[in-house]
Amino acid sequence: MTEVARRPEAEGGTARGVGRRVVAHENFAIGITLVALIAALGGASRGATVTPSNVANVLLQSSVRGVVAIGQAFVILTANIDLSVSGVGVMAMMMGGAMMTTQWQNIVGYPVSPFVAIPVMLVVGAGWGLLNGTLVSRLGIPSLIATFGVWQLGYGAAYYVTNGTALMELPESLAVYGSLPAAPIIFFSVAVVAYIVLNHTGFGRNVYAVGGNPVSAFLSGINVRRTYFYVFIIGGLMAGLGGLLFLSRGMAASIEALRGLELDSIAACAIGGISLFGGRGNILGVVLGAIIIGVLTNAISVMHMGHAARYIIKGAIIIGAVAVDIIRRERRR
Amino acid sequence: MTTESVEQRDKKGSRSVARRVFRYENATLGIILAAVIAGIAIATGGKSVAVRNMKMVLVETATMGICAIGQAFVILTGGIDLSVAGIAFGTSALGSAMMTTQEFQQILGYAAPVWQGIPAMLALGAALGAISGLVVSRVNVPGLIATLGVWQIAHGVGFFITGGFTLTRMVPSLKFFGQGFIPEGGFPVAGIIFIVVAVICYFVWHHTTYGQSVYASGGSPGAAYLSGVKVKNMQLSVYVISGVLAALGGLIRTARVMSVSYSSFDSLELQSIAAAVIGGMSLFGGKGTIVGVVLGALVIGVIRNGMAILGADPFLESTVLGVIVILAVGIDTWRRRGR
Repeated sequence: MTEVARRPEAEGGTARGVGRRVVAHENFAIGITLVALIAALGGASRGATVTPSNVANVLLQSSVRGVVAIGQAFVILTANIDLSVSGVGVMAMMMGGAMMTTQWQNIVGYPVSPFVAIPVMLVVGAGWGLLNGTLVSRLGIPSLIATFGVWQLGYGAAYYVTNGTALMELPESLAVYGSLPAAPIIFFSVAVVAYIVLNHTGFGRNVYAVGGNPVSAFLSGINVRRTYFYVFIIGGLMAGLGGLLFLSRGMAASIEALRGLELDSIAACAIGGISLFGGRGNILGVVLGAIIIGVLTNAISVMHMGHAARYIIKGAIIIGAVAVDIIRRERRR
Repeated sequence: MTTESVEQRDKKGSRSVARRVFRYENATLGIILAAVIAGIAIATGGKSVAVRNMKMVLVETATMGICAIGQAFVILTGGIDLSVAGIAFGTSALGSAMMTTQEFQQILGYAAPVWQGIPAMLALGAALGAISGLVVSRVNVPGLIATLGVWQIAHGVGFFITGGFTLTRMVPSLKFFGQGFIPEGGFPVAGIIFIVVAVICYFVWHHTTYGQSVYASGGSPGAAYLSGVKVKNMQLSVYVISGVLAALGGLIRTARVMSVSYSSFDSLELQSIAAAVIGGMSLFGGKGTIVGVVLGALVIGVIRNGMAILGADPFLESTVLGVIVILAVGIDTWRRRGR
């Protein structure tokens, strides 16, 4: 189904010129939206949003959101959803922070070097993803509920590690990962790897096939359950990485730090054209979607529009993005 | 399906009442609730089953339970309503800003009486629910996304009204809906509202054409459409009902604590989903009962209250909620597979 739908676009090259191919590209509309948004906000704020320091800020903020959204995209492509990303991210962040801090919260007894703590954070993230994957693929629990439960567990465990206190006094060598240029480099490398995995490996093809139609995927010999299992591990791993980037950017961690990340990551996917029904969309769209949300969130705070505007605009955008996607698809039929 | 097989078995074998009660679909849940109450009563040395505390559990559960009933309507059609907490906050903010006696926070310029404030809250709840309903039924946006968006919008409306501040000092007559008792010192008003809502919804679900249509459009929308059910209008209506009930739930909590802040209703949507799911609502739509949802809400309410009495850490509360939800759905999925 997906393959058939894509063919004409892929072969559009034989038609007329590069220009046409660019316009016909499925992410064209999102790209234009992003450019228009940056221009409009730059104008409205009299350039305050496009100063070098603010652009750097947007890039750093988008990196956290972006890597988590990429993990979320794998999950949504199989027609599942991962509500646990903020819980898992906070858990990984607190675990790593509590290993590295020189304060009393240290759980190991001495401050561990980031080279040890970072892999631990990623493993913790992947481990919680493994729990999601087991609940969904082995027990058949709907992903909405399984990840919702795991989300609660993640927050519970994070409270347990830190007693709900904020973590500070982290080793200075950690700051590298959350600042320029490392954070955006990590974000874009993750995007490139995800692109290759989704478009040029058997696993990626399975993800699309399972999301497009699980029954026909099963009948053509794809291990549907195993695919579910792996996408949730990827989702958890990326949530852990998001936690790492956040921790090293702020050099402090509070339990409330990542609240709303599940909403932002789902919104980035929705804006980026990943169909919530599975099997449709690509990583470039997700990257653009994450940056759009980053640009907007940042502009709202730079322009002092307040919380009310932030909530209302975000809410309208997520509904609007999905609605436009659905209307376009129905028209094509 | 279930009732049929029970009747058949009853014809063949024993007809004892006990057996029928045991086969009743909410029997397991009733036993779980009894066990939870007993277990917590032992753990707290009887404190949790004191009459005064049980009244409090009922009042505390009323908000979550009423929202869970609205949530159940939506889940019955195969959707989900994540906007519950946002709508409860947005509507409570409106009601409080109308009814407060703090002059600088009044949006009408005077402290509105309850008969103006409460209908305004319910109307705003209906309007916000209608946004989700229209987007879901007319544009086919998944309920998850539509209500996620409306959650944000409603929260934004609340922030706009309150300016991020806590609203207090509402007109004294509001107290009745959260702290009142009928008769004085008797049964809590909030509990009565909860029970009345549950009874009305029970009759709507099981004894009206409308209820049957909602069931049908959840179980199999295609078949329902072909048999003349206006599936789109059914979808719209359940989100409106959920919005109104979320506003009602918000009213009760606001009246109980007589203040509203942006974090007053945190995780209410999760609790309401948990109550509905524990109560046996199938997330695929078309299956579930009001009795189950009420029992599910009570299970969560009793556990939360028990943990508060025991002075448990807040982390434990969210962990327990998470485990219960996964267990409830896991058992349901496993049982269905067994058949």
